[in-house]
Amino acid sequence: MTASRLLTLTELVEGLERDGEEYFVLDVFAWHVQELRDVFEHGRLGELQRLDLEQPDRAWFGFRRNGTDYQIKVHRSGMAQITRRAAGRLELASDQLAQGRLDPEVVRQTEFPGMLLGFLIGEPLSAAPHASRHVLTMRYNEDENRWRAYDGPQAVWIRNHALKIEPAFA
Amino acid sequence: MSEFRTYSDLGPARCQRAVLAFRPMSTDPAPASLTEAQIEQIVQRYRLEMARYDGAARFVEQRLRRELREAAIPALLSSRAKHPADVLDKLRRRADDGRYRHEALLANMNHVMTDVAGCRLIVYDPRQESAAADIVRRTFSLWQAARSYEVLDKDSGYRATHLLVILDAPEVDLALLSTVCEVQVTSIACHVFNELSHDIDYKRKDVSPSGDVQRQLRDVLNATRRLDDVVARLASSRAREIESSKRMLETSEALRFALEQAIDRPLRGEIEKLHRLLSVAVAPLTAHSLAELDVHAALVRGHQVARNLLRAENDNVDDVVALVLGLVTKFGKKFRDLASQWRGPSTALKRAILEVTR
Repeated sequence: MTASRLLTLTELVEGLERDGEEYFVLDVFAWHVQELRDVFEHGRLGELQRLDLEQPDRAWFGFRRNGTDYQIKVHRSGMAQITRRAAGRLELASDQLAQGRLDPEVVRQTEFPGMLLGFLIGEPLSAAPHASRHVLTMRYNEDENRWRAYDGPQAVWIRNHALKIEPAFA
Repeated sequence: MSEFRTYSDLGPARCQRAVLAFRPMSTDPAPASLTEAQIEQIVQRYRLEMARYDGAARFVEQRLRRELREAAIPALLSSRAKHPADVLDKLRRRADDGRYRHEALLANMNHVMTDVAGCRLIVYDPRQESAAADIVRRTFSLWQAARSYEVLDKDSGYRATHLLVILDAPEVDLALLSTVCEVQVTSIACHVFNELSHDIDYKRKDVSPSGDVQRQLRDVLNATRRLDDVVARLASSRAREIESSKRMLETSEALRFALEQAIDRPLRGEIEKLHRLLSVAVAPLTAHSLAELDVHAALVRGHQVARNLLRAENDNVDDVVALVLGLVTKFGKKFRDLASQWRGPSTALKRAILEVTR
């Protein structure tokens, strides 16, 4: 079962900026993003700009919306991370990035939810080391064309995928 | 499933809580005993009405199953309408009981023999018996009659909480409306003793239990009391273990353990929903993150919010509602977004979130 449409970069930005600057990172499944599919399937960059010119196969891109720069990285597990370019604090190591096309097995695994999910990550709850963080599991509501908080059965799935690749939760 | 016992089946009881309603004094002269023909007539009538009692008992069981799941209280549930043969037996035993009058039984048998529809709720941890009984009280209306809520701890060894609920909510099917159902709440260990001793005492088939049988029954009682203690200790140890662990609280039951350890008492309310709310808002959700949220302070804040904004007394606000209201300053927008999407009947938690974040 797949979602009836794909997310766009504009919708990713809407998700990240949902509550102002409360969150730094939005994780989504890369296969659910139209512009990333264009890159992986057809090699079409569109408005995406490669940020690692020395390793152009690495899935690390920049783009601009409403005067703000954003970067989007795709992890080998199929998760895509979007951050504000200047303030993005949760970085992936270069060798963790997807290279070339996404592994078909990864694509198969991330097709499952049948809905467009996102996971926002924000500030720690306290100053203690390894403190838990403010997060929000979301679903893109295709009828309302907006992100809504989501606590349904697939929430665990996206959360666990996202937590695995976040250095903040290592 | 064996027959449910009514209060009067059980002999003198030490009630630990006040009875919530009283029985009006009757000034009628002593009524005549039931005759065999009258008993047959009543049982015949009961056979025709049995489906209604069966439906009522099942309705109570299904609602409680949902509510207990929400509260993350593991439990076994069963329900039944009394078998006609058991009704016959009971009427014969009670033929001289002034309450079992022919006219009253014909007018509304269910208001005389209050256990014709019965639901049994068995918890594993004996400390959850009162929390489960509380859920029964919050889910249904108590019947306004004598002994509608009793905590029984009898000399015979019988232990359970008995509640008489009446189906009077708008969502109840018309055919079941006004039916009274007896809900018995007990621990699994107590259930073993209650059943065995009942079978020996009330189904003795004219064979009185020998001294040997009575001694062995006493052994069973001691063993079940010990099992209750061991289960309670196990649950406490597990709660401490979870509390001290950095592992994620992946189930509502684990969240209950951790919270109860933090506040040092049983927790009341919709734990399943609380788990969903916190899992969406905090990562990773561990006992440590609960400490970071300062559960104690959040509960106090939540009760204040409930008093100021909802005009609710502390007694009317369960722990989960108070905790969520206490966390509204941190997570209000998320909680509102989630609660507004919850389907099904509106609950106290949903109403409180939507009201306070309006």
